[in-house]
Amino acid sequence: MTRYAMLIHTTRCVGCFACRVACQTQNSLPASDSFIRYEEQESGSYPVVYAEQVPLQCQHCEDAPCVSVCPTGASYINNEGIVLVNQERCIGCKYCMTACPYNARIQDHRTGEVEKCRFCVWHDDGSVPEPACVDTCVTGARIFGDLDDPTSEVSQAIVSHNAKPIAAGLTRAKIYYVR
Amino acid sequence: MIWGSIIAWYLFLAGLAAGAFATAALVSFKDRGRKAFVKVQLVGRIVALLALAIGLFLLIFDAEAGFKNPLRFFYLLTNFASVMTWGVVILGVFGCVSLVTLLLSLLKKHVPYWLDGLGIAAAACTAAYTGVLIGVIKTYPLWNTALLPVLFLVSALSAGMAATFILSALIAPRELEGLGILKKLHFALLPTELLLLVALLYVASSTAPAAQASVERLVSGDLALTFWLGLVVAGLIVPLFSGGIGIGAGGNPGGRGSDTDGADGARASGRGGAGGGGRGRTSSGIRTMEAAGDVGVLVGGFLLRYLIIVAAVPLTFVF
Ligand code: SF4
Ligand code: SF4
Repeated sequence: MTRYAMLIHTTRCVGCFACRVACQTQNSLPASDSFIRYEEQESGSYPVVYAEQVPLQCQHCEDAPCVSVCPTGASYINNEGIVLVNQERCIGCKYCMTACPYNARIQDHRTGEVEKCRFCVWHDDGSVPEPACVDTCVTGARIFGDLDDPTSEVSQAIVSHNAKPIAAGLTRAKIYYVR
Repeated sequence: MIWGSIIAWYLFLAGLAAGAFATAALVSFKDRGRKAFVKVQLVGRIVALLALAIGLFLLIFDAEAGFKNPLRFFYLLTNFASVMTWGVVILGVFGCVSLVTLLLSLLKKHVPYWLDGLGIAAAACTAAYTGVLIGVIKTYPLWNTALLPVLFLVSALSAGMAATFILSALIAPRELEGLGILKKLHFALLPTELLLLVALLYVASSTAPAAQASVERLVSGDLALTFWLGLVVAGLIVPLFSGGIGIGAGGNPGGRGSDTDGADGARASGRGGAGGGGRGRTSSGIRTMEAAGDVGVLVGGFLLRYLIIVAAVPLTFVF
């Protein structure tokens, strides 16, 4: 089995937003829409303060609430653990958007359909695809790979950095963060 | 905000439709085939179907991609794990029963009791499902309580009765005077709704910080004016007063046996429907006041859904 996942090293992220631009280009999104957004987190107290950019996108939850609420079956999980939207079935009811606790879905107002990060899945022609955000990251803050393969770079990085999902107790997310 | 006022209108109209249908069916049960209340029944059935049709149009209109490709709506019946899919089934049954009973009423045929019974069940499911639909969404802890469907159910019946009564007061005031018992039920729904609302806000605010933030927006934040003046005063307090005065002032004659007397009275109009004890028909002043209270109930019914939709703050998942 293959279970694709990602690791994001927020302490390496410099907040250049190159991943968002790469994603928008990859997915032909207008400048106003994107599958990646950022939350800024400040910590510490004056004068020792830190600002951290946390990139957020679909977490490809294993127990995806967006999939269970979707009335048309448009939202689904493929056999590699990637959560996808079958655009031909989506009616744009936005039920999935309310169900996603990470606010990771957007509605494309050109079509009315709902979309989100797809781990650049359509590149998959037998070879392991490298999502555009991973490819483009200038500091190498993103690692993509197979969770079920203990020797994969992502599996090993999760263990060595003790990476964790962004929030405990929401869903079984498959994007791991090093913070 | 993902869902906005269009969805609030839909939730309100679906509830209103359910409530109006239930009102018509209850009137029919009380009538027992004597045809003393045909107009009120007809009004209720028309309101039900119209509100449902408008509500469904809004729902379809809000589903942008489906609106552009209507054939995709057939996929709606594929995922029975989704409350929305169940909603489609429930709405289908309710819509059909609602249509058939309206046609029977229009043809001056008696609507079978079993059909009205089935309709009441479907109507109750419709009203409750509008609450379950958003109630299962964990992202918004304000919605995510078991009280929400109950509150929507009570409010739906209240709004449906209000709409039916306002129109009946214009078209068939005599018939309405024989319906003291329904007026009492209509009145009793208000304190129930108030209690449920308080409980919902209380329960929600003691769960997650996001729900607490939502409650704060309603009670003392940016939505406070609409909440207090619109929902609480216009939607609950005003109808409580006008309804109370209306009932006290002879919407109902001296108590015992009043219902059958009322029904007979409505037919034999000479006797003055509610006029036991020589008080005569409800005065026009009181009637106006009751209508104002019912308008308040409708305003409150919409604002309840609107406020709950827009006030909901999502779970703050990061940090
Ligand atoms: S992050 Fe949101 S959109 Fe992605 S799988 Fe989880 S619930 Fe669905
Ligand atoms: S908007 Fe589309 S993908 Fe989302 S729940 Fe509705 S039909 Fe499913």
